Formats: sequence, C-alpha cells, structure tokens
Amino acid sequence: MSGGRRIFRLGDEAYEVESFVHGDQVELHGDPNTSFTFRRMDGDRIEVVSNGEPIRARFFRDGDVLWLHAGGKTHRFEVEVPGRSRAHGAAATRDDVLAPMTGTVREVRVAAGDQVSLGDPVVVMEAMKMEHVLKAPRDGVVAEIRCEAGAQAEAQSVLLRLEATES
Amino acid sequence: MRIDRPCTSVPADGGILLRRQPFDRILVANRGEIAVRILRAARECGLSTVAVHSSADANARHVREADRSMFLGPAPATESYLCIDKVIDAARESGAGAVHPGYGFLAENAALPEACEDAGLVFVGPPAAAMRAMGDKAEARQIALKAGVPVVPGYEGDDQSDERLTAEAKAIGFPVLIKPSAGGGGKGMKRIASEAELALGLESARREARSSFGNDRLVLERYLDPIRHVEIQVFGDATGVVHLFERECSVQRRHQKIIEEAPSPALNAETRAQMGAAAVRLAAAVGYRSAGTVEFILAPDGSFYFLEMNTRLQVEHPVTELTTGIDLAHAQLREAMGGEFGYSQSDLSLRGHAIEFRIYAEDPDSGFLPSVGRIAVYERPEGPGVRFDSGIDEGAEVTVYYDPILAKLVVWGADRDAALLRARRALAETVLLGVRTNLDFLQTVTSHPVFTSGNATTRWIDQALADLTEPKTPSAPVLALAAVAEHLTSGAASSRRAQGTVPGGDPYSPWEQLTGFRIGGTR
Repeated sequence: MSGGRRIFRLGDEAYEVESFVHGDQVELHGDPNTSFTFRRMDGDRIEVVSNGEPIRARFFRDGDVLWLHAGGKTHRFEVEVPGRSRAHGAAATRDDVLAPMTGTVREVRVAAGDQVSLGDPVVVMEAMKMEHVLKAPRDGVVAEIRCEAGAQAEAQSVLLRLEATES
Repeated sequence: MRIDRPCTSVPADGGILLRRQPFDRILVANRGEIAVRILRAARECGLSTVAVHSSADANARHVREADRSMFLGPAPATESYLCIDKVIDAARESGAGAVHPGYGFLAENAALPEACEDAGLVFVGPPAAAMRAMGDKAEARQIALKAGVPVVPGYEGDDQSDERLTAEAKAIGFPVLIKPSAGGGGKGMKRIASEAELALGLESARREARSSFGNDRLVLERYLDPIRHVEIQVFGDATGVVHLFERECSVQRRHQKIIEEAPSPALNAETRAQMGAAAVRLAAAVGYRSAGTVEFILAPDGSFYFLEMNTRLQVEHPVTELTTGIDLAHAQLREAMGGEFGYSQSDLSLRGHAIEFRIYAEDPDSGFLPSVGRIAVYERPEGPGVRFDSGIDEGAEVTVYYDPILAKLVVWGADRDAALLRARRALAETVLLGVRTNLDFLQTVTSHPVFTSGNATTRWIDQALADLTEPKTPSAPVLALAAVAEHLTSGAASSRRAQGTVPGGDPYSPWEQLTGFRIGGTR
C-alpha cells in the first residue's frame, strides 16, 4: 500500500489529488472522493473500473511529466509533490521573455537599458521553418539579454529579462 | 552498381526540360511520411529504392524502408535535404535512374529538374519551365489572367521598395496578405490588418522568405474573408491534362491546412465543373506534366479566384486517391517513364467521401508552437476505411530541424457522415505519447458543429480557437488512472530523492517515505 498527495497540472489547471493504492484498489480523497478497482494489464497499459465500466489507459513517465492516453484523449500531466518547488517553469513572470520552443534566435531587437512598451517586438526566433516574433510582456526597461542572434535556445529558457518594477 | 546514361542535349519534347524514359532504381529526395509513401509506391512498381538522410535521420523510418540509403549531410536541411548537388551525387553514386522530390524541401525548386536533366536522371514531376512559371506567384497570376482564370486583386510588380509596397497595400485596402513570391504551402504568409503593422510585416516576411525560399520578393493580395480554400488536383501527360476533382482545405491554422476532404461540402456540380475546367486550362497553358494542384479561394457567393499552383504531389493527395481510386504516386512514376496517365476526363468520377487529418507535433494550447521530444508510445489506428501514412516509429525523435508533421490519418466513408464517424473512432484510437500533438485538438474540431455541418472557412480555427482549446477537466477515473500511473512510476522519483537532487522536500513528511503511512482513509 502506498499513496500520497500530488498535484497534477494540466495546462493552467491544477488538480490536487490525495490517493492511496493498495492491492487492486485506488482511492481518491478530497474532490473527487471515490475509489476504483484497477488492473495493470501489461507494461504501460492500465485500467480502472468505474460503475462497472472499464476505462483503459496507456501511460509514459518522463521525469515530472506523466503522459496518459485514456478514453481516446491524451493528457499531459505535470506531476508535483505539494510543498516541493517545481523543477522548472516557476520562474516565468511578467519580467521574462521565454523561448516558446526550442529553436534558433534570429534577432535580438533591443539592448540592455532600452525602454520597451507592452507588445514591442524584442526577439525573433525561428523553429521548424517558422518565424516567431516575441513581444515585450509589459512596459519596462530591459535589464538583461540572455541570448544572442544565431544561437540555439531551449524551450522555456529565459531570453530576456526586464527590470523588476516597484509596486 | 552504376548505371551511366547518355545525356541527351535536346530534350525529346523540344525545349521543355523533361526527360522521360524507363528506370529501375529511384532515389527519393525527402524524409518522413512522404518519403515512406513514395518508397512504397516505387516498390509496388517493381523499382529498387534509394533513400537519403541527414545525420539526424540515420535511423529514421524512411531510411529503413528503402533498399539502400545515402547520407547527405548535417541535420539542418540547408546542409542536407536542400542541397541539390548532394542529392544528384547520391543518385549517381547509388545508380538511381530517377529522383522523386516528395513535397517540401526541393519539390518546387526548378533547379532540381534542371540538375537531373544535366545528370541524365529522370525527374519525377513537372517540367522545370512549368515549375518556374508557377513557382513565381507574380508570373503565375499573369498566366492565370491570360488563361481566363480569375485572380484576387493584388500587386506582383518588380518594384519591391517599402514605399511602393505600402502604396500598393493602401490601394488594395487593408487587411492585405503578404506572400513570398517564391513561396508555397502557406509558409511566410502574413495577414496585415493595418498600415501600422505593415513595416514590421514586410521585414519579417522578407527575412522568412529569404531563409525558406532564398528569395525575398513579395506579392500583396487583398485579404478576402470569409473564404474557403478549394483546390483541384490535375494530372498531365504527353496527351494533355485532366483534373481529379477538388479537395476542400478550409480548416487551417496559421495559414496551414490541417484537415482536407473531398468532395467539398461547398461545391455544387456546376461550380465543380467550372473550377476543374479552369484548373485544366491553367495547367495546360504551361505544358504541365505529372501531378499538380491548382488552388482557389471560394467566396460565399460561389465565385472563385486562382490562388497558386503547387507543382508537386500534395500532402493531402490521399484524399483524392481514396475518392477516385487512382494512385497518384504510381501515376507519377508511370508518367516519368514515358507512359500515359491512362484515364480520360470522362473516365474519372468521385466515390464516397474522404477526410485527411494532419497529425503535427505541436501545441494547440500555445498558438500551435512546434514541439520536440521522443515518441515513447505510438499506436496506429486500423480497420476499414482507415489509411495512416506516417514516417515515424516508437522511439523516434522529433527535432527542431524539420516540418513537425508526424503522420496523416485519412478516412473514407460512403458519405461525409460515415467518414466523420470513422474519423472520430480512428483519432481516438491513435496513441502518441512523449511529444505534444494536435490529436485532441483534431478530435474537438471533428465534433464541432461548424465542422460537422461543413461550414468551416479559412478563418474559422482562429476565430473559434478559445472554444476549440478550452481546457478539459479530467474525470475522476482519469485522475485515478493518473494516480495509478504515478504510483507505478514513482520509482524514478524516489531514486532521485535518494540522490538528494530534488530540493525543497521535507524529509520527515510522510509523503516522502511511502512506507504505508496513510491519513484520511479507513480500511
């Protein structure tokens, strides 16, 4: 028997689930508060039985990401243990311009110290033959450039930082 | 084995570069699903097959499906799949007698058929001259006008200065569409809503056009809205050109098609016949050979305008294959060997309904940004009326280097409703884990009333995006499945904890120990 509290993030939504697995039962506590019979069919195939109806899934675990194909739909959960800081992604604030995908930085249109306005084009990236113009997330002053034209940038890496605003 | 063929200095068809003669080995100058599809067709025709690959694709599916494979160069396409000299060398070295370009990469680069001609190789596709004429949007518009095919109001002139383009855009009226003159497939197209956006749009379009097509000349057109995108498949041989009816391609995101079908729910028999005849006139005007597609936009009043001609086999060609029963890749190979298409216009008819879904590695929730990763779990749909063309395997890496198309699901049904039922079943059956895909998005689209009623226009996805990407709340059984999967896979997480690499945890928390402590539950 084992279990615990996990946060399953699906896009912007987070579902906190306290679950216990013992024998062939999985209990969910909180909302929803229910239990199911489950079965591991083989390898990455599992099923739970809900009101006598089996719902099957295939899953794949990749670090903090849990992929689940169930009921014909694909779910990409980011799994988090409550209270633990997230491995990445938490740094995204309105002060940062992040690379939306892995690709090449084509052009940096501003320099540190420049004043920018919300929506100003600041960095141009290219990936898979498509160009993406990244824009300033708010009005502000460019504090730091963390990329250069011609270089590769990883998805979600910080390309540019604005000076923190006093509030 | 080397096959040396004499290079004829005067092409048989008098001036149009086009070598047609039998060959027994073919090189497919592409990758992914289209390379696999053409390699299969070539094998079916009894040809021996040669694949090409970059360093990123050494173990790719298309490489394994060919009799042999030739290395082209490093991962970036500009150093591998886009290098004509490397492709020609690979063909010569492998003893291939012909080159099929697929779609994308070199498929619409007239320098490839010319280089093939020089090297004594058959190019499977149209004559270079037809490709050049149609590949240039400006010239194509003028040819269409001469052939009596209506075109969208626009500017295609030589003066490419910002001043002139701005003046022309104002004369055309906003919104305008900027297109790379040398472009195709929606790449580099930009909709400009107002004069304020124009300068940045022109700059970005030029840069994109230069990097994608090596030419930064632009064409401006009036942005018509709402419109449908309907295209006509044509096929030409030494005896002339016929059409194989239309494909409806209005469901697009970022100006790129994601769902195509035939017949179009928007065409009546009369418009279909007129559009088909216009496409044949245009193709015949440039002495077209092999498979090609004439794209039109269809206005709500039933009027249609020539958009561009794609001088290649299209991504969505299977839709036509399933509704006409003609294998277009076979027909291309036959024509390239000097054979005839073999069907007159009156031999051709549409049967049933086919719909294609492009399965992309992309994230519909973040503006369809391409995604990368390893395909860890992959399950293909099967069964009656289901065709699945893919270039991937379980374990394949999706990289930043190439187009993010993973596969195409094409379903056939006796009518549109039957095809839709099949589509929903097959989409739900498809499993791709490890990289973000548009599979769920395609399912949402397929069940949306605008799509099921056949009323989607090219702007529909953009307009309905919030609706189509609304976050879905996982059901209790799905959360239970997630909890079970998490439980079964938490070994990796616990070993990382043991190494002390996960910060911030409370070592005394019962959740860290997994020793059987439990709260809130009664046994």
